[in-house]
Amino acid sequence: MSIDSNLVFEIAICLSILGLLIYIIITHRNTLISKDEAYLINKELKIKLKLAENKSELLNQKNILVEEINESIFSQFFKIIQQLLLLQKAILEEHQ
Amino acid sequence: MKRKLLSLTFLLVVSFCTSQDNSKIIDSLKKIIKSKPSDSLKIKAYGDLCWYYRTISSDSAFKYGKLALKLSKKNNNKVGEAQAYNDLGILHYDLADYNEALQHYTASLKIRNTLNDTLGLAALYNKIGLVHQNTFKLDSAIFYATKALKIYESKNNTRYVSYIKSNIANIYRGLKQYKKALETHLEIAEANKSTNDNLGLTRSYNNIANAYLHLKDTIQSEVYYLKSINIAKTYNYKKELATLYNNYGGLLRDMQEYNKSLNYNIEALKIREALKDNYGITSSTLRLATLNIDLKRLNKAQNYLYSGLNLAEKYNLNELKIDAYDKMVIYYTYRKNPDSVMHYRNLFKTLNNSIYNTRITKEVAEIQEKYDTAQKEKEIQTQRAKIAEKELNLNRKNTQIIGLVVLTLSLFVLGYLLYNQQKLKNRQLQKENELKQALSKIETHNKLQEQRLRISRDLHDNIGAQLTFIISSIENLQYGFKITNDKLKDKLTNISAFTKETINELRDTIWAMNKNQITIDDLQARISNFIDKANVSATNLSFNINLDKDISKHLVFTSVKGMNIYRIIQEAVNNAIKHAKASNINVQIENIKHKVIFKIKDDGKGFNINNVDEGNGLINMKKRAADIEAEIVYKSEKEKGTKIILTLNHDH
Repeated sequence: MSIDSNLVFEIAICLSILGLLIYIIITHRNTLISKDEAYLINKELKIKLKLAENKSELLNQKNILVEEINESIFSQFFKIIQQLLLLQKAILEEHQ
Repeated sequence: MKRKLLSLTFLLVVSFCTSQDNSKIIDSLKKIIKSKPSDSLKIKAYGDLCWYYRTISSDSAFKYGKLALKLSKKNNNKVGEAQAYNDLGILHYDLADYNEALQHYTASLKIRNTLNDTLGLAALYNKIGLVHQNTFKLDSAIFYATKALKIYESKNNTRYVSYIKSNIANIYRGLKQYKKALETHLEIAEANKSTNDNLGLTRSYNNIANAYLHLKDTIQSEVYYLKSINIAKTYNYKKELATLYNNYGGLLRDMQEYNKSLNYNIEALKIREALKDNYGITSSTLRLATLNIDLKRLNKAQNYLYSGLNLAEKYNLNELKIDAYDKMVIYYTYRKNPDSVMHYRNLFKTLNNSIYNTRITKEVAEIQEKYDTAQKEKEIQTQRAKIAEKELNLNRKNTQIIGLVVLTLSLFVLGYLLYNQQKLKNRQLQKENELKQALSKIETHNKLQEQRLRISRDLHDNIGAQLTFIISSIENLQYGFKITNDKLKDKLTNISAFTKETINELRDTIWAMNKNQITIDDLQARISNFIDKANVSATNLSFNINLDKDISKHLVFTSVKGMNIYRIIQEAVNNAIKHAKASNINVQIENIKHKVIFKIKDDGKGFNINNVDEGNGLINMKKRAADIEAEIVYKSEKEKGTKIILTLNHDH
């Protein structure tokens, strides 16, 4: 029984086309799925980033307040200490 | 519209034509042609004129037949062309021009084959059979007649079945199978009777009479001739009547009733002359010549003989030519002219031999032609098979090429999709990385900030604790020991007050730091708290804080903004108490067109804005207002109090 090479070739072409079409469909579906996934991941990351930015803003505000208070509190604290020391000196001088 | 009316008229004419006289029909058809109908109608009218002129004037019939053919060819009207060829073939047949007739029939046959016109083909097969019958090609005649018969039988056309059978019977007669011919004719006659086909019956009776004559039954033959003549006379079938007179005349001659026979033959000749039936005329002329020889009227016989011979030669009627030569031999025998006898006998022999030789040659040629045709057909079939195989291969290759193209396209599409997918993935990954990097950077920064805040908080807690310890130690000193030194006492009081102020400042900042955002309520509560404390230190003061109804409860400030607003109000109130010696301080919070306005008003001694040196308090307030992008306005006059207006924008 001889094998018709044309027929074999045609069958091979048909099967290849069919296989490729299936692969095209799968690839297209995968692209759509990965697009959706990427969109979700991006969205989540953006939300996290926004939250982190908000937190950063809040911390900045607090740090500004800290900077501000630090500026005055230390000088005032040392001033109190200085006055107390001066007072101590005055008391000691008076009792000598 | 005009054309439609003409078509209707034409149909009416055609449908009533059977009941009208031929000349009337011809006139009607001519009128139709004059009215310039459509070409298809014209072709039909020409064809019908050809048909109706057939029995009146063969020239006119030819003229209209040719016109129909020409117009059909011009319009590519295949049906009309086939009909025109058919009609012209019939006209040639009537004139015994069998070669021409056969050519026209063959042309018509080709067209009807392409048109698949079965009934038209059957009619042509029958006519071709008749031509072959008249030219003594009886095998071919029976072949075509059988073909026609099969078609008519398949179509159940009784009349034509009878007609064809009649022809076949005549062929049997030609083959000298008279009994078979007689049986067939009797059967056909019965069929004709049952279908009231008088013309067919006339012909059948004629044929039966002929068959009986061949079987030597002159009595039955005469009966059927007379029956047939009677019907033909009744229905005026001229052609058939002429044939019958001719045939019956022959019978009478056999019965040696020469005068009676002569009369019938003269009648036959007259009718045939009227019909321009050349074969019939020639045949009747020769018959009359024979009868005159029988009656020893040699002069008359001579006239008929030469006239018949001329006609036979003119129309190339070989069978009748032989008959004429034969009669010439008899005539010249009576005339005792041996030279002429010899001459015509030689002519008779030569023609007879040539006819049979020609016939044999023709048959050989036909067989050769058939063989060649078969060979050619075989070759054509082989070539066709090869072409078909090549076409199949070509189609297959085309299909394969298309398949490969589709495959390539699919590959391209797939490649593009994969590339696109990869590109998309890379882009997404890049975007994701960028976002993650930014997030990580911010989170690191936040952690650092948190760390700083934690350290600062610890430091503040520590300082707070130390300040509280200092305050409690000073208070213990003041109340535990009786300090008489006023200077020392004042010093301790000042340190205690300053420490308290410092610790309050620290608490205010921690309050602001503990809140992510400061609402207007928080601010109001904090200001009220501060005013309460101020009230304790200055008992003669009256403080009021008013919140506008339009201010939204959802109005919020960042901790820095809230702290700065609080500090500005605190500074303003402190200034009013310490420097202006005010007895009434009013804090008003309003909301006008996306703007929050804080108004701090006192009834203190005021100051001249142009002359006053801006101390730390006023500068601080301006700086804080600038930090929160707010506008601050001082309004003050000596002894008329002070009004500080802080205006800042908001989104709510």
